[in-house]
Amino acid sequence: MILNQKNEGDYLSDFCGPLGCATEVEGLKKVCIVGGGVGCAIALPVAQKLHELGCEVHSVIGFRSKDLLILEDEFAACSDKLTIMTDDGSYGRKGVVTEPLKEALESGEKYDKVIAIGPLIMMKFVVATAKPFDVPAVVSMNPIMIDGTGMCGGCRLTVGGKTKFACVDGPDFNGYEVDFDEAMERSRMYVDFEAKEREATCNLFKKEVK
Amino acid sequence: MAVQPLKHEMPVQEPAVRARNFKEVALGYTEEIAVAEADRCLNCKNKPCVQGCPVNISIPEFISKVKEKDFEGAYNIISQSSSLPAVCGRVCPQETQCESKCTLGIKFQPVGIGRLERFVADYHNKNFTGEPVLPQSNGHKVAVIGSGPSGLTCAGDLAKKGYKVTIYEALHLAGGVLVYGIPEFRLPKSIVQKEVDALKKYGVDVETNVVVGKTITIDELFEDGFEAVFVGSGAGLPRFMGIPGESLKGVYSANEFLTRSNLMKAYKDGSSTPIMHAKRVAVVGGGNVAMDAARTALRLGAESVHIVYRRSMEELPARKEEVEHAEEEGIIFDILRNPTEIIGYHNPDDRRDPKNGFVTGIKVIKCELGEPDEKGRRRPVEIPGSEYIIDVDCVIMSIGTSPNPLIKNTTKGLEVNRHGGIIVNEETGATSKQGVYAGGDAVTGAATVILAMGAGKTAAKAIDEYLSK
Repeated sequence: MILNQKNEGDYLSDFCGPLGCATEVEGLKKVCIVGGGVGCAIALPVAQKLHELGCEVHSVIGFRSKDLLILEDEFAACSDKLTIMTDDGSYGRKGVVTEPLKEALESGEKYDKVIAIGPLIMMKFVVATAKPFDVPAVVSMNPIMIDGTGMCGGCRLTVGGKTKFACVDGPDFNGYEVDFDEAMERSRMYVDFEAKEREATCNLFKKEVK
Repeated sequence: MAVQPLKHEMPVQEPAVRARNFKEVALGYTEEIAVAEADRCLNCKNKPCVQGCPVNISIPEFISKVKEKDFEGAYNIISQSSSLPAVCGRVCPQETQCESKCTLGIKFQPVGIGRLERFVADYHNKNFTGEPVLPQSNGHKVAVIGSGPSGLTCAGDLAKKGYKVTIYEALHLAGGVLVYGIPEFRLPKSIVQKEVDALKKYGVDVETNVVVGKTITIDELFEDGFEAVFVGSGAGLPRFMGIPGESLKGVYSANEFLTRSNLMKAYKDGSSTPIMHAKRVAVVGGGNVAMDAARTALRLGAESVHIVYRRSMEELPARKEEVEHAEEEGIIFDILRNPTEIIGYHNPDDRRDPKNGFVTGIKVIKCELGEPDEKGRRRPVEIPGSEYIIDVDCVIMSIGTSPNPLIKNTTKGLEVNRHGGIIVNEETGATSKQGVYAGGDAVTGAATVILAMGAGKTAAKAIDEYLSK
């Protein structure tokens, strides 16, 4: 993978965007934003915009460990309530993001919307957590995508039984309608290829070290 | 002198060799063959071939120049009507256009007009070193959306008249379908690059990575000082059949498969673009795109590639030469077959089995041809109980596209038909919005390079008239 080997100050030859549909933020009074890992970077501007519009923002952000924590100060600045979770307990609370969400809903919090942005498995369980409480849940889908302009069809998802394209119809969808299992299956299409690529790159580095 | 009854064959790479490489299949006429083929032209008075050409190239005139071995002169005649001769000589369906009207074709094989066009364009590209004569600027600014065949043509015609043209391209490379869709072995990318470079010499600016409708809207283009806009944004979202299994891993749209291979160079050894190097492939559809996908899969190392098409060989919409080349290369034509389901692997005992969710086969049903439909093509009728499974590990859907909604959704006053295609006046390419013109697949749905070029030409003429008022 080339993108995550870039350093600060490096450049990309091409950049295009923003594409897709904007997140709907109008008219919301109280929202729970759930971010997972690098998904938090995408969740942050949504939280900031809602905060700016006067909406009460409760943020739950989760990471595997303290080393991978990002944007803590930024979330603190735009959230009325912030809960940080780590899988290993090295920072914040130990556990997954659905726990504080469930507690809040059980304690009677009435959110207009839960907005989840993170790994597919996390979004699937956020939706499952919200369901018994009848809260609208929006998820931000990140399937494998080629052009992002509605040309290749690679990012197709099944939403409410229909084929949708994340690039032009999304990325936000009603979480209750998304076929997560199918999306997770499709996201693994190139796992083998990527593993081989990674190995080849690592071997190159090893050669350099010698 | 007796007329040679058959077209001169064009030298090609041997099928067994070319089926394993991405180099161009057809090698083009030599000077000797070109002159001999040009000699077959009767130079008849009524010139029916010209009517068969969507951009009305003066065909007998350029062929006469070839006879005289004035190849540059021949090029000058073609370039008065066509801005992409090296492309059209390769990808036009000549057998249904110019060559279908050829007088010689009544008794014998028609003149190889497409092959001669290709020869002349290649000769020019190889030998011409002069600089184009730049026209005087007329001070008008025109924006062209999309750098495919219609956009390049429209931009070229306007630039030659002195307009300041800016092309906006969504992807990182100019050329549209010529770059992402049509494979290297049929249209080398260096040829497309030459055509784009030629436009730049005429002062055309090409802005890549701009998605009009997202990055900027048409109304904003007008605010920026453009006086007219041509929309040549091409075809959009790929169609799927709506049968079970289309979300399995190993099912591609032809657009995705070809984009990965062509634009993103997955075909090159050591490319970091992932693509499936499948062993057994089924391509659903019978158009040029289906042929391109099938032959690309073969070159990526497939052992067997099936074209699954619901009508018979006669109805295949692909260009005849592509079908012949595909057959020679060993593509299997499963005609009169319609897919009903794509089958995937599922291990009930192990959810983590890495083979889970990958394609293992495609179930098809046999068809026979029934009554003609509204277009006069005989309708395929399924034969009950005739279903069977073809074992494949990759399925490529190549059954057309529906228009991209981005421009329609962000441009007030731009009317589209019920399929989503932009509505235009066919004489001018003018849309329902003042100063906005459109052409190519964005209007017609998936069609050919030359029809898109014709539409770009029509619109350029109309834009010139509109802005000269």
